[in-house]
Amino acid sequence: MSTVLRIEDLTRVHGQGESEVHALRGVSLSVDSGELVAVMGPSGSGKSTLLTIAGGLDSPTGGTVTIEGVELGGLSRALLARLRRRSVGYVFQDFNLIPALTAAENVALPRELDGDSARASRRLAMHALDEVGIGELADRFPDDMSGGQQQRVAIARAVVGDRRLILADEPTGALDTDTGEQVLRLLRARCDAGSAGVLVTHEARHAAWADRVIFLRDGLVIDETGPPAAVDSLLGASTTR
Amino acid sequence: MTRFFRGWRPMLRIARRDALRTRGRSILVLAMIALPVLAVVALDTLGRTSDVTPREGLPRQLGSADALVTSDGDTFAVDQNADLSWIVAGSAGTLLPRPDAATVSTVLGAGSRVIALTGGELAVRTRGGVSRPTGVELDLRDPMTDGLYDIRAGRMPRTLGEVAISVRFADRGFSVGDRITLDDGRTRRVAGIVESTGTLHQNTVLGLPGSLGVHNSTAHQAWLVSRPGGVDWAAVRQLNAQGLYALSRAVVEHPPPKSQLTVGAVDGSRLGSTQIAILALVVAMAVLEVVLLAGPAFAVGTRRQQRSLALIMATGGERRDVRRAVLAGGLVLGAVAAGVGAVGGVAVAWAARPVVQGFSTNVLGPFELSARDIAAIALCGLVSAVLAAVAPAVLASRQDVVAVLIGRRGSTRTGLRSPLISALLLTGGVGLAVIGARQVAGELTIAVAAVLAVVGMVGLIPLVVAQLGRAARGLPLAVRFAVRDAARHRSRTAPAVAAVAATVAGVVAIGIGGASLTAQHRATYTPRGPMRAAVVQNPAARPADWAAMRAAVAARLPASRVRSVLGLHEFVPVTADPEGPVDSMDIQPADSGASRIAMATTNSLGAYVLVGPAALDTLAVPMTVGQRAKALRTLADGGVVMLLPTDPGVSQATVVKLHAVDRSSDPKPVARWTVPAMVLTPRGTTMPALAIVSEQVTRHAQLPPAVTSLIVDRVTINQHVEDDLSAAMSSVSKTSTVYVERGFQDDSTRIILLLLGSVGALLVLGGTLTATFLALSDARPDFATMSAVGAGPRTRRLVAAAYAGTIGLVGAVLGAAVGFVPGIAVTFPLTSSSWIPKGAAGTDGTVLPDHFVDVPWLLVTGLVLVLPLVTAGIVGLTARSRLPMISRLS
Ligand SMILES: Nc1ncnc2c1ncn2[C@@H]1O[C@H](COP(=O)(O)OP(=O)(O)O)[C@@H](O)[C@H]1O
Ligand SMILES: [Mg+2]
Repeated sequence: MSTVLRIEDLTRVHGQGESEVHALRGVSLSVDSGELVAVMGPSGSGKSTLLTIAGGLDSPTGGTVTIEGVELGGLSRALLARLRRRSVGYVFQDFNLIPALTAAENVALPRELDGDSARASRRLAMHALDEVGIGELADRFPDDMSGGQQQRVAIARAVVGDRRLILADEPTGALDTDTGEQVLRLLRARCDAGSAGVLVTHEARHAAWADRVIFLRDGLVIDETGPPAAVDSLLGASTTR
Repeated sequence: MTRFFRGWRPMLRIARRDALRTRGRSILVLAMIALPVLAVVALDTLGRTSDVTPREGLPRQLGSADALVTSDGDTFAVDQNADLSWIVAGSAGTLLPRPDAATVSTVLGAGSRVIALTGGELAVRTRGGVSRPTGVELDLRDPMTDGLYDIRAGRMPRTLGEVAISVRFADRGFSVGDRITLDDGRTRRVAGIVESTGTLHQNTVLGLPGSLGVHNSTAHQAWLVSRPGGVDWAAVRQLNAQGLYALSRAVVEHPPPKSQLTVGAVDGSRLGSTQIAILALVVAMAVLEVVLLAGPAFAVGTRRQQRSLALIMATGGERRDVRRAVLAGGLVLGAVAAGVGAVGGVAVAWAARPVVQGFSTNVLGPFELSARDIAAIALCGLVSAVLAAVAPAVLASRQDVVAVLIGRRGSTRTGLRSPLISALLLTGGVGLAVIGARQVAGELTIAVAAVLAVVGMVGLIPLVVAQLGRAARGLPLAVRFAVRDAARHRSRTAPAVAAVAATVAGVVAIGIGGASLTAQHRATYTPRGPMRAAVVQNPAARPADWAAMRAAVAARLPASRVRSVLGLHEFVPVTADPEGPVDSMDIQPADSGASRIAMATTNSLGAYVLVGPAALDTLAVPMTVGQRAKALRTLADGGVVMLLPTDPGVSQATVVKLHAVDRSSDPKPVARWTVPAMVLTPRGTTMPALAIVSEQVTRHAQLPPAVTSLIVDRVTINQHVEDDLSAAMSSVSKTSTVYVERGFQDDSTRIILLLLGSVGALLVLGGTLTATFLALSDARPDFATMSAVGAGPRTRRLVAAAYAGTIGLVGAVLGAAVGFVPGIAVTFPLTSSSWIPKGAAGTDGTVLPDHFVDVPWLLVTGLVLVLPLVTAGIVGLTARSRLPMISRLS
């Protein structure tokens, strides 16, 4: 099993002077292919910051991020964009689909942006949509779909074109319990098929789908567990604070 | 009433705060409304300022006198109105003695004072030849003349040996103390340099009565008068009875009642219903344009407010309240914009006065504001702003509160109202344009048709945009995104597209009309002489003068060829008395008495009837070698060459000799005979002469041919040479004129098309850019998403360019399509010329069509294709390429 994502001693300071916020203060983490890692922690602990830096959307103040052996620090903006098209898939809490594009077009977007022909990218998109079980909704617009359907489209967009790293920031936050479970099942299946996944969540139930759980607080990893058995106790500790 | 205001008060407060909070968008709306208000207010104020009313004009015409009494040499009683804008020269009644100062004094009675003001042409020797200023003899020492002239240097003349000269004349190199030499060889000392208070840049020399010798046939005689109690209307009428006109201070300030005026003299300067209709159309189109341009900003603003509007509803507000909240935004911004525009317009007008004065020799009147006009214009601005907010207000009040509050972005879709009314308007407009095209003066009908069609088109644009969104599949990503997004946000896109379309429609329609009219003028242009040659005419010249003029030309332009044109004067005096009986000649095709061909003829070479074969070459009539040989043969055989727009196929002409007791009486035929004839068909619709006759014909008619003009060619005659030649000819004989044939000159149309193009381009750019940048700022979340899935920096630029291109192209194509209908239609009433004989040849030698259509393709393609694409390119290049970060959005 190869390491897809390696994060070493990552720090990130937002703002300057008075309003300086240390969102991350030296986080290290590595995720292998086939592995799903859950990141938990209270609000403001730096989870989203970690994910945006891991995906190359934001750059760290210190430390390194390496994806499939490539260090992000030295990459130009264009190369980072290419990395997001080819290697990293993102899933957001509020879906972030483009309302002007159909489901299939949303899914095909990374491929099209990468220069694939419309036809080829649509074929890949249809495949990805079938995989998440909503192939029949391909030509619907996001506004005509339920939240769960939209999140499936978002997952399809995150995996289309065989991307090896999936970063999901509270993908179930806006969904009801059942739909949330289905979405997690999809992520799990995707990782079982060989991708690496990072899942930010604050529901222990969801963390149970992960192979490992990382706890963040005030920008530091306060615990790292193997199997997610001790999750409940740790979570209890952090919420009764 | 108070309840009504109570409903608005919180909404106005919200609107005011909101306008301050979203400054960028507020400034955009402000500019869209304030700029047109400013422009129109400035134009109105400048127009009123440069327009000199009769009352404002009194000091510059009368000085400090009570009235200016003028004689036009009439020897019958005349008629006038109060401000002399309507006069009727006398032609009947008792013959009066020529009025003089005594006539005026007698009418005005005891206590009145009369001083003479005589004007006439002078000839003054200058370094560059002979200058012909207007000579004015007036006793400028008299206080009655105060206010007529400003002294710029020196003082007014006090003796017969002194003159004052105008600034323009002084610019020829004269200053105070210099001496000028008059025609008679005597010199005068320049005592001062003056400028008329009414008209700038006049070429004038002023002197005391009798000092200049302007009492010749061209002189113009007037008197400044003062009379205790002023010159009242009764006195003016008495002067009229003596063949005199009077501009009286008392009468202009207190005009007589209409009942005391002759029917024709009643002021008809009120706006007619046609003018009111045109004004209403123009105002309606201007308001529509402003509404459309400002509309997108309101649409976007409303959507940004969506949540708070939904909350108003959720907390118990009614739809009415939501509508008010949005309309209040229009009211607040509209009021500020109207105020800013009105004040700015007045300021601009004040600042622009010197510039305007630079374009006109008429001295501007006092700075003049019309509170009524400015209020009306500002109100139009306010109304435009409120109207621009109406559609967003209605949409906002219909929105799905729940959908907005749970944050589904899709809730902005606008329902597509039945397009039936719009489609009816559009077809009605097209139909009316067709009807107008068949009317003789159908321009107004077509203007109404154009407005109907444009309004109909504007109503159909949401539908078109929606259809485009559906058809976008298969387009490249950036374009597809832009088109779909535009279709989703129709409330923002449609007004912008409509603004572009309405502008382009107007420009295309007017452009086609103007270009077609020019095409007609060009095709029917008749040269007055051989191309690039100078034609020297002199109706009063004696044979000796012609010889002197030939010599003068030869001296000035030694390389030139000078030819004399022989012809018959229109009236050949029978006796030595020029006012006595006259003979003349007419030539008609001998076609068994059928009516004459309708045609227009000029005496472009000084005569309607030219004499001798040499005239064949001096007329600018193209002919084949065969025609030329035949024409020479006909003339040698004692025949005539007729110039007709079409050849009636005759081989004989009737020569008619006419006689009249004097020039103004009806000529009667006294002899009539038939000669061999051929017909030449000159290009253009106005014949340069009636015919060329052989010398035998003139001998038979006993009418002596004479030189009627000189033709100078074989040298390059530019404007400078023309002026030079003109001066040389004038120094030989005052009555000579020089005309250089340069072919059809078309400057005004080009300028009008350029102006139209620029204004159109500006509006198209405005509509395109606002909509594009509003769309871009609206699409921030989408750009963030694109960035997250790996869009490169180019994506935003491509999308921006695609937006601009879509809005510009769709609007321009629709607008051009709609503009073509009234544009083509208006060419029928504009250029169908029933007076052009069927089959007549145009300037280029081809048969003239029934009417002219010329589409200014450069303007149309420039506006429809080039401008949107260039705009798209520029937007693409200048748009920020950096995509927003997803993490900064929530
Ligand atoms: N763009 C930013 N500018 C300033 N501070 C930020 C920014 N983004 C996040 N932060 C701060 O960094 C800390 C971590 O935020 P985030 O990573 O969003 O936490 P989480 O996702 O765990 O709730 C918080 O204190 C937050 O206020
Ligand atoms: Mg977060």
